[in-house]
Amino acid sequence: MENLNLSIETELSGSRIILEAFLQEGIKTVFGYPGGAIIPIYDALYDYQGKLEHILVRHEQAAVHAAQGLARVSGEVGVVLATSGPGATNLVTGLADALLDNTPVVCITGQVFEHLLGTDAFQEIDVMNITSPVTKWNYQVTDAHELPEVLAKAFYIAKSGRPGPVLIDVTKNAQLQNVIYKGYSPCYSLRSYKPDPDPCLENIEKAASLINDAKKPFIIAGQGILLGKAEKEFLEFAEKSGIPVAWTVLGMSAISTDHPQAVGMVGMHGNYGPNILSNECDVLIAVGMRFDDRVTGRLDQYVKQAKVIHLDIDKAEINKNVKADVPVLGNCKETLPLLTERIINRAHPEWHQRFKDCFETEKDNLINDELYPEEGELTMGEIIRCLNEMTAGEAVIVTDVGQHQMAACRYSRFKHSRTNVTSGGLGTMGFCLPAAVGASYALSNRPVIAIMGDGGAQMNIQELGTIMQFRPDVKILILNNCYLGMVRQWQELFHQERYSSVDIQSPDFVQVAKGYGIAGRRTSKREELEEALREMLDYNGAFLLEVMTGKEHNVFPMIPQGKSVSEIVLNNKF
Amino acid sequence: MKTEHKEYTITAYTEDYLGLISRINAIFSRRRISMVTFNVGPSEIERVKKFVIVIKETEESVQKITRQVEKQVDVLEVHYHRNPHLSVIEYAS
Repeated sequence: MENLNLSIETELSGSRIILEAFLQEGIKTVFGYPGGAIIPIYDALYDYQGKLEHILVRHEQAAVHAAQGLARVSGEVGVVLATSGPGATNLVTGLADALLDNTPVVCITGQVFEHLLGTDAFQEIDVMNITSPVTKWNYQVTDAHELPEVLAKAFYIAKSGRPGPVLIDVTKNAQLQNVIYKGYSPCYSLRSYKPDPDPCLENIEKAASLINDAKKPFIIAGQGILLGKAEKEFLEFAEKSGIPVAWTVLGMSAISTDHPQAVGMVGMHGNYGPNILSNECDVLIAVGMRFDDRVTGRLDQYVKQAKVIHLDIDKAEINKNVKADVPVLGNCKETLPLLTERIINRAHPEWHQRFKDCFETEKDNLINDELYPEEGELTMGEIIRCLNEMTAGEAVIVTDVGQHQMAACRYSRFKHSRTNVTSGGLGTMGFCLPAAVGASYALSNRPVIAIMGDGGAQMNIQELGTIMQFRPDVKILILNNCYLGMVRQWQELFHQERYSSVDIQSPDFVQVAKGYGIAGRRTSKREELEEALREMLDYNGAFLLEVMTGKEHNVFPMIPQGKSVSEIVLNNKF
Repeated sequence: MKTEHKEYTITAYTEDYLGLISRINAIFSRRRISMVTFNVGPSEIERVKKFVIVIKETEESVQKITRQVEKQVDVLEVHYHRNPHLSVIEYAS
């Protein structure tokens, strides 16, 4: 392929303009699946070998999850290619996941020729209307002249402000059309879009004064810290304030889980102290989180006693669920330092002691039994503990959805930011395996461990094919309890043990892996666990380890649905 | 904050973007808010569209909805106001 001199006007096809935009945006890896309506882009891609690596996934949904995995670990935009019709509709779950978890992803879908739009042509579907509720922005291109500007806009919208997925639907004629290419100019602003609202100093003063006067302040760290790349600013704020720090599922890894001020996770299966003391704090500082119902429990009994300081980049989140006494709008990378310089050094030893006491209660009633059982079936907790001892918080932990996810979030140690990748908002089973594939292309130099249940493992199991072909070093850990465990748990606790369609049969996962040329092993024995995990971690390349766990173990603590955070229970005796 | 449902008019000025009607409609439909009227047309400004939407809701709900509309990438500006009672209109005329 001839090298393009971007300063000289060159005639290029729409397809090549798209690939040039990827290069200009610093994209090295794209995830996709070819098809009739996107063949011209794939034809152009043939000439970009060595510049753009294309990972051929086995299903378009997996392409989005892989792009999400890459984006979540690297902080860069993930890119997806898919064809029209079924290729595009298969993206929907991934896009919805990326929208709810604010993951910057740009998807390019091929579309039938412009003259065929609306004729029910082969593989023609109304992608714009189907994807509009699951994208931050979408646009259909029918003329290649528009492509440089639209792509620049797509990348800018995907990664700026509150990030999210963007889909660009490109008709085949636009992919084939040759136009004079005048180079690529990245987009930095749009008149209708204000991604980073200016901080309001008056509110920052008010927030600082509340924090300085607080007796029992409490911080909840959300994903906004990671998205704003504000880990350092957050740490400085937290350490100067001396306030106990909890996190949401997606905010996890924004601060080291071993930090002396770290008190654990909030939410339905979060830690006892952070939940119960939410309803005792006098000032709640919510940083880049959105008060999801899984965090707040019963909303009319959530933090009613506290003054709420809500730092968020998205104006629509302020007062959406929890009324903010002091809203601090803006990117927390900017607002946190303004707050830090206005607060005084504090330590709050007595208040921290309350969290420690709660943690002791949780340990005595629950954690010790989960992490150090001496008999009975293996627990998910002990598997995660054993893994922690080997990875020392250095690994990227990718999880699916369900009991194993909550066990992993509760017990995994994280030393570095962007090392926890999971499907939070949408709760997408099948997220893990493709997301782990994508995470391994983020080049973080950390081992990538995909932890999933037996249910989720089968939801995108075809991605073993992607691993077979491209050899990403993904360690696959299936925690198999032979049930759709979380639903079974709810049926046990709230539906009189009427186990309806949760008894799921799985294939021999080790044999399946073998069929894909991936090494594997199964264990159900406590005495083998450590050695089996060691074998997985030390193996040169992808490895699947299936660990059989207790069939009817439950995840606790739990805030039963509709109950207040104060009503969190430590076991099923409620 | 009044909890009573009253008639409000939401006015949005937007870029002239093909998919925006369905995006804005979806903000209301997914929350099961039916529109009393939904008008789209050119504004006084060239290349800027004007949406005029009337709904019956609480003010709190209208505020939240307005922010969701404002959040759309192609929306330039949004305002809402309480619609006057008929009697007020009669006084004025």
